[in-house]
Amino acid sequence: MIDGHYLLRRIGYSGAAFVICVTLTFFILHLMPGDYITNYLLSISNYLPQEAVDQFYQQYGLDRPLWEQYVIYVCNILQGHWGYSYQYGLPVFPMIMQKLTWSLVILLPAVLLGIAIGIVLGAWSGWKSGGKKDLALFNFMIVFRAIPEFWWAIMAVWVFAFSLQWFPLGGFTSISVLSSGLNPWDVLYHAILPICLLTSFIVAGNYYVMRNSMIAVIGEDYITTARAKGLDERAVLWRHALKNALLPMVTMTTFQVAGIIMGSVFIETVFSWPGIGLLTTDALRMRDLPILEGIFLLDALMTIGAMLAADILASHLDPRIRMGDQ
Amino acid sequence: MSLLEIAGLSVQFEGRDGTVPVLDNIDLEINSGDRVALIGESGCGKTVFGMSVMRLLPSNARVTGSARYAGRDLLLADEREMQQVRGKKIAMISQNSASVLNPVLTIGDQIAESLTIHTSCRGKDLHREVIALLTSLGIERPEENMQKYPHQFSGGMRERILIAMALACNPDLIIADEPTSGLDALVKAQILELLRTVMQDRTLLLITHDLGTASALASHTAVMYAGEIVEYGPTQELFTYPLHPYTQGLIAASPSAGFHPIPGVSPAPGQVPPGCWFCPRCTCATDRCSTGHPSLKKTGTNRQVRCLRYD
Repeated sequence: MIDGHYLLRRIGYSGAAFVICVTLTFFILHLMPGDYITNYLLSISNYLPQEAVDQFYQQYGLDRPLWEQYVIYVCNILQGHWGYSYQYGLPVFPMIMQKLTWSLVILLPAVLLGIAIGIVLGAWSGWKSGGKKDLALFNFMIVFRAIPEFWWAIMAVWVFAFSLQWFPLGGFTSISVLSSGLNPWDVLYHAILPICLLTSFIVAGNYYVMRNSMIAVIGEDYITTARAKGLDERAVLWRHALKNALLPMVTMTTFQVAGIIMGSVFIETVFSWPGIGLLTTDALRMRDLPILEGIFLLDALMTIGAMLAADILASHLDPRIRMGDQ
Repeated sequence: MSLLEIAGLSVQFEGRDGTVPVLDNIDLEINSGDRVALIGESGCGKTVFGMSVMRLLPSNARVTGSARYAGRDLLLADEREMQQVRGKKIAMISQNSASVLNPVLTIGDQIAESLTIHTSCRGKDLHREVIALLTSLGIERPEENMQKYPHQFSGGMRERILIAMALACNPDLIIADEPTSGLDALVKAQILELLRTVMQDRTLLLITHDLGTASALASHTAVMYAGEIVEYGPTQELFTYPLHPYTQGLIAASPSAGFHPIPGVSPAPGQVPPGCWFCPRCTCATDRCSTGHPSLKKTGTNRQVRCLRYD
């Protein structure tokens, strides 16, 4: 189906993008003012013996010139060594993976549901564009998206957790975890509210793109051709309009899957969900560079992988792309 | 026998600034076996006419009058009934082959689609049927080509594919809207020849601004100006002895007659002058032409003309 040369070229571009990402991330992070000692240990840094400070710098190689640190860093990640956290002294990769697992508990269902519902609602709304139901939904989405997600999150906590007490206020498990261990149903119970909020936001974003795309497609001549053949409206929508309208969605949704890592910083903060969003804000405050480097490295890998996947997927949907960049 | 009988057909589009009339009181009878050309300048309403018969105009179009097909007024038919007519009884060859084919479906699928909805033809039979259609329209290596997508074909080839799509269910009437526009002279001649062959025993409504196409294909010709028919008659007669000054002007403006343009421009929809609509551009206009609007009058045995000179 897909041309080998085309695939090789895309993979080449992806490699180049990865090198640029790694380099930029490294230098930007190291250019940040302050470091772990001055930011976090400020209160006690006056009492710290100079030997201890020197030893910290030496241990993490921070006493070497920046370019040398960069070469060491690149050599390390190429061998699969992601470094050690300043704060915890633990290897970064398993730490990130553990937090990522927790993030995925709320992000995976939210992204999948959000994409599916967004596409269906957007396609329906675009197909019925101009009608009363479409306008009602469209205006509702505008208002919903115009207000930031953390406000909705706080409102949801206030209404559903505090007033109605249907859901817990935050966290990922009840205190019973101490006596009876982690209960999946209990985790799900804690996850429902954050999942619903994240889903609604992803729905709203996808809804717009899908609606616009559908409106553009129903004005196309081939839709009239399909009707002129005697197809009923449902067949015109499913066979002729949807596949064309989905083309811009492919890129957008694959990016959402990639952006999954950073997708829930606000929601995780409001709900105290122990995921990668919390880890990021925490590491940023502490200038825990190895953790930040690890998170951004993972993000870069996922984004680049998703772009590659989007290209391949798009070329399956749209035969015109298969010809390459001619 | 009359296959499609259009009487008093008018189309108006509702816009933000009121309604805009596009077609006015069209009468046209198409008998079985007729090949009727509808000619006129761009924007005179030719395409809208074809679309109104197919009931494919956008929802802001107000269509009045009647279009009787096999005794049934299509303008009163419900959507489900129209779906049985479209593609099966009346098929369309739309203009602009580059955009009327779906870019993400193979041409084989797009041709097979009409057969799938209107006939019981499935599987191997369907495959054979599509290949037969492609072969009959001069598309080589049909097995291989039916797997291809529209962008992989030239304009002439896409036109052949569109004709194949229209012929698929063997419809009673084919409406062809500018089937040769945008093609170079050689390919255009090939497509005209092809159309002449395949339309031999069929009923055709040909919509075109190209007099050559009309005279090559049509048995009868209707001339449209600013949304109304100004002249009608057998093609040969009409082109040899044009009665209406507009028809005379069109023929004089064709390349073979020396490119003598008709002065002025046709009126915008809804802004027609009082009296005869062609009067401001007419070289033989008299005083009474700017006051009385002429009606379409029968002259001779089979000619109709809308001009005060023949009253």
